Amino acid sequence: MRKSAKAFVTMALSASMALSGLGAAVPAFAEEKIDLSKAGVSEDTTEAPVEATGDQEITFVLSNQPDSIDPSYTNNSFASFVLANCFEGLVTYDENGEIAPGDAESWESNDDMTVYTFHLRDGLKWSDGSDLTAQDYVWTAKHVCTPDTTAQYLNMYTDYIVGCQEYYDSGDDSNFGVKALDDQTLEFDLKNTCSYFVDLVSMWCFNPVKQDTVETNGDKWTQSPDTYVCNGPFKMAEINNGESYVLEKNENFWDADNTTLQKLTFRYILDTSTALTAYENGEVDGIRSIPSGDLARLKAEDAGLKTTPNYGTVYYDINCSKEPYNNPNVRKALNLAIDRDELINNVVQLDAQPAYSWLAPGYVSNGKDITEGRSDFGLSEHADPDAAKAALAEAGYDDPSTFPTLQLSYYSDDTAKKVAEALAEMFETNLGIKVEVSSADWAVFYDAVQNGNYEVAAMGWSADYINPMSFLPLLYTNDVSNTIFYSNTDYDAIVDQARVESDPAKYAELVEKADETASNDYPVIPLYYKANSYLMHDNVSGYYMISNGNLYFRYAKVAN
Amino acid sequence: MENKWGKLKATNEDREKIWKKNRTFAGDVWFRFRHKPTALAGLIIIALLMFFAVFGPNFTDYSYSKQNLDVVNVPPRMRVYETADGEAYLYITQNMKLLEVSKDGHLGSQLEKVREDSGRYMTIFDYKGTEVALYYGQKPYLVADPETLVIYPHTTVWNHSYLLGTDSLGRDILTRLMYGTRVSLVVAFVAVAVNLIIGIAYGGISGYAGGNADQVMMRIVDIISTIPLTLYVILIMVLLGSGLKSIIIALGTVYWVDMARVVRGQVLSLKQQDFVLAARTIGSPTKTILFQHLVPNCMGSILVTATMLIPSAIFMEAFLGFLGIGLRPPLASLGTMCNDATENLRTCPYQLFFPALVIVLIMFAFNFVGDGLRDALDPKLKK
Repeated sequence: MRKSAKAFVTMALSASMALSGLGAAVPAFAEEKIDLSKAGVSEDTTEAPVEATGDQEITFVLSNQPDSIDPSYTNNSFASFVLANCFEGLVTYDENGEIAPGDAESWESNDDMTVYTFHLRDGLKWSDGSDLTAQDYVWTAKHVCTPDTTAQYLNMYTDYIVGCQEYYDSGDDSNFGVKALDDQTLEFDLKNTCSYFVDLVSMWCFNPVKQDTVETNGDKWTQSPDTYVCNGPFKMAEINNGESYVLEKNENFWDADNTTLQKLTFRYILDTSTALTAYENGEVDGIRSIPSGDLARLKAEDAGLKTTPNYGTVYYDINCSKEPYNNPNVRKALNLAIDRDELINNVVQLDAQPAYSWLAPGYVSNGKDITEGRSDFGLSEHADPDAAKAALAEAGYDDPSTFPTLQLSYYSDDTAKKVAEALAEMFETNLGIKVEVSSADWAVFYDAVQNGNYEVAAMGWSADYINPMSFLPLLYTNDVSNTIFYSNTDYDAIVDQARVESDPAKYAELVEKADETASNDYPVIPLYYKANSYLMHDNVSGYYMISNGNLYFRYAKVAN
Repeated sequence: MENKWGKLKATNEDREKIWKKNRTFAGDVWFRFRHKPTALAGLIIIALLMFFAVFGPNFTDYSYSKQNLDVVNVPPRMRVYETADGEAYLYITQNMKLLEVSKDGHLGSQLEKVREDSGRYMTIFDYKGTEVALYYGQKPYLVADPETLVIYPHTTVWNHSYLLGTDSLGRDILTRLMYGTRVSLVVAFVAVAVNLIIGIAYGGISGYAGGNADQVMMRIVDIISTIPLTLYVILIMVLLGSGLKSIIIALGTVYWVDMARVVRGQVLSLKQQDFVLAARTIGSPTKTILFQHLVPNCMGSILVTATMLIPSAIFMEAFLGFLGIGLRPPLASLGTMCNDATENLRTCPYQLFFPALVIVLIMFAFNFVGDGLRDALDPKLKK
């Protein structure tokens, strides 16, 4: 059909051309017009609820491997896919991104928000069929607060809950703030007022892990499906290291009746374009990382591109403890030398907002985003080479060529590589300094960053819970997540105040002040605020991604 | 000797004279080599690539690291739409933006986006005050007037700003190819040098000394060659960090093994011959015998082995680059260029095609030359 139509057009064209040969002034082309009716075969986008038919199996491709899938240990966002689907915390998120009851049916706090009580459901079970009680939650809390666990989210306990720091330091549990009042009632005693504690317990470091398996197998309990006991909608069926995690439905899950999916495979294809090929051939149902060059095309073609806002920022860490980067003017120069607009539109090619602070917008208080109307800290979406050079001169480098060679490191990832190369070029041309670029595998890279063996390094932060408090500790002196080794006593004082503030308006004010205090020191190089894009075929429905990047498959259905 | 049919003088000299032109050994080899078309073609390709790599960068306006983020992923041949005023062309980038292209194929800048009209599958851009629409409701995407929906006439032009197109950071692929080829050739010559110096000396001494010395030296070679080469090179790279220096050190420490074996084999059989005995009888030192008499006699096998090892060294470098443990960005090598291109393979296949083509050419050329040399040097294959 199409072919013959084309042939007809060509004939018509040549006929008109032949005719125009006679009368000179006529344009040689018959004017072709866009036929709007031809466009968009899938015009009705009203999503009819897809009926579950055929095999209920989904294969989703990930491109980065987590350092661990132990919820007590890791804080790596690459682990969220396994953890969000294998574990269920006290609370979880529903498809609107709002807190929903998880293992806990209900909860309440006392008036000054220092004691929270959670009531667990009846008949909760682990994936191996044994009973899950409030004691399991208490044991998990102690497990996280044991130095041997080396929990990366340790501060989520020690900063908020009574007795956790003491337990960590001396093993003294006499005053431990996580208590099981009975098998189904769990109480958290907090050090201070905390209005967002329920947001906090949605994090996976509060997910229960089973004492038996952790104690018998040590830190190897996550390495075999038999010992990986969990309590979420899915349980581990196969672990193929470096290749895939195969999850199957957990019949012992409290809400198993509403879980239709039988098998969920997370496959690792590190090369994003190979992953895209697999997706377009229908070999897999969805992919997490999309080659940036294909994003515009996939969007236009209606190929199943999903974009959800993310409460997160992509930035570059600057090692603030190292010469010459401990000088705010040097950091300012680096910040001024980059063109965020070019970076977003032409390098990563995303629909993203340029970032001037590490604190992402997205937290609404009193009907208004608390970052609304904040300063741009002297930065703009375009580079300002003159101001950048001036800042560098102020730092004592009148001649940029005397500046020591900047070591720019990034982790092995196609997009991270492009960004790093573009940044290196911007530093070299706009600032006139020398840059050396190097890369490493994520695990090696992150280890170096945590230990401060870097100068400027690719990084990003996705909030673990939707509250600015998930960003503020990143710059807090000696916080475990402070990988830039920034220290500012004024900032620390404001954050301390914000932690105990129960009045939302005052809280917002303090957050704004903290942001201003730190951002004027340019502790990091903010690039853009994140949005999550992934691909999923239309025959899959019911899954949802929330703004911390967790992708939930518990209600997913497949129509074959 | 004007008249060849005249009567000869009956002197001994003329009778003994060899009338045919006398050819030296080298001349003989060259004669046979140049009568093999594939070998000659290989040699010419190598010469051209060397010229390309050494002098090429003098003829381009770009450097291997110069980025122009306005023109990322632009292919060498573009499908363009003529603007309404007929003064320029518009090219639809892979990123769904419109790029101004002059009539002679030089790239301009991106048009300013005015608004998105997703209901009609259009993005509206501003071209010198008039609105033009990028329509993506059907493939290929079209450029049209947003009001009248009249499609602009299209044609294809060559990219005259970047002859082989640009990569995903707007760098000139042609220039990067020159530098990439340069890296490959440097690696090739390092491999040859290492082969000639270490390989010949080691193999020669081992073969000529014989006995226990030979046993020990050859076992060391055995040990080195049992370690998978790729793994070994990767380990060295991890130890020394990435960069051209480490690649050269990594290749240099292992690439002489094959050569040592070949030379030892040759020396073992040659040292039994009478000319060696003669040299020894008149009291020549071992060094003289080895390097003046034995090594020149193995030159045939040495040359062949060396030319055959070059492509494998080049390929190893490209392979390391492709794995991402080769050169540090933004330096270009053929392998890293291929690696960079894989991400955009579906939208910009030309980014992989050109470096891959150069790798193929280098491989063919060196293999053909090696083949030709082997045939030319082997007296048994003499026709």
